[in-house]
Amino acid sequence: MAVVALTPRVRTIVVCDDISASMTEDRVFTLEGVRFEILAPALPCRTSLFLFLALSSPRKGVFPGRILLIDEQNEKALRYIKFAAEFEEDNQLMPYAVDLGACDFPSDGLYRFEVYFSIRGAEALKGEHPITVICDEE
Amino acid sequence: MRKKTQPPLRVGRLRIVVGEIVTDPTEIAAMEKMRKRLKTKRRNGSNKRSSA
Repeated sequence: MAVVALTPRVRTIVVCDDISASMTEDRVFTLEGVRFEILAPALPCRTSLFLFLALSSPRKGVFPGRILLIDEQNEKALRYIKFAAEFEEDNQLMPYAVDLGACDFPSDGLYRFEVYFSIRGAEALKGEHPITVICDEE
Repeated sequence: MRKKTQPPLRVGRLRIVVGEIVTDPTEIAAMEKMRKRLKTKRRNGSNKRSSA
């Protein structure tokens, strides 16, 4: 079976400033500062970001994942991040809040996050999400 | 033909994970190689589709 079919499906990608779970309701979350843009007062800029991922898998297990931040001007990867997605049972939808830490953006323009999952040494690109950096320099 | 129905998905609890930043040059080189390979594969796939 193909790697794409065996690895988790990325159903949602949201870039935001922070993510928290509700204190009163199970499976309810708050995403703060959902963004498609970063307004930078000066360049290069450094911003702490979270990636909210809604992942589903027909099979339980632990799947190694990677998130890459790509500069679309030169297609160079600026940041490589590893994480693991765990599914405790078959046919589960798992919400993940991945703390990406401080991400550096060297210039204004288009960037994107790429989400990969691997199984048995083979990898597949499962999702992409764009983000634009706009310089607000006076 | 009847469409295959999928079982309903059970929603799990929010997992907050701190991403591990990769700094090992060997690992980064391997990831770049993989990216290049996937990109070529995708390009070839779309070329095949458009020429069909």
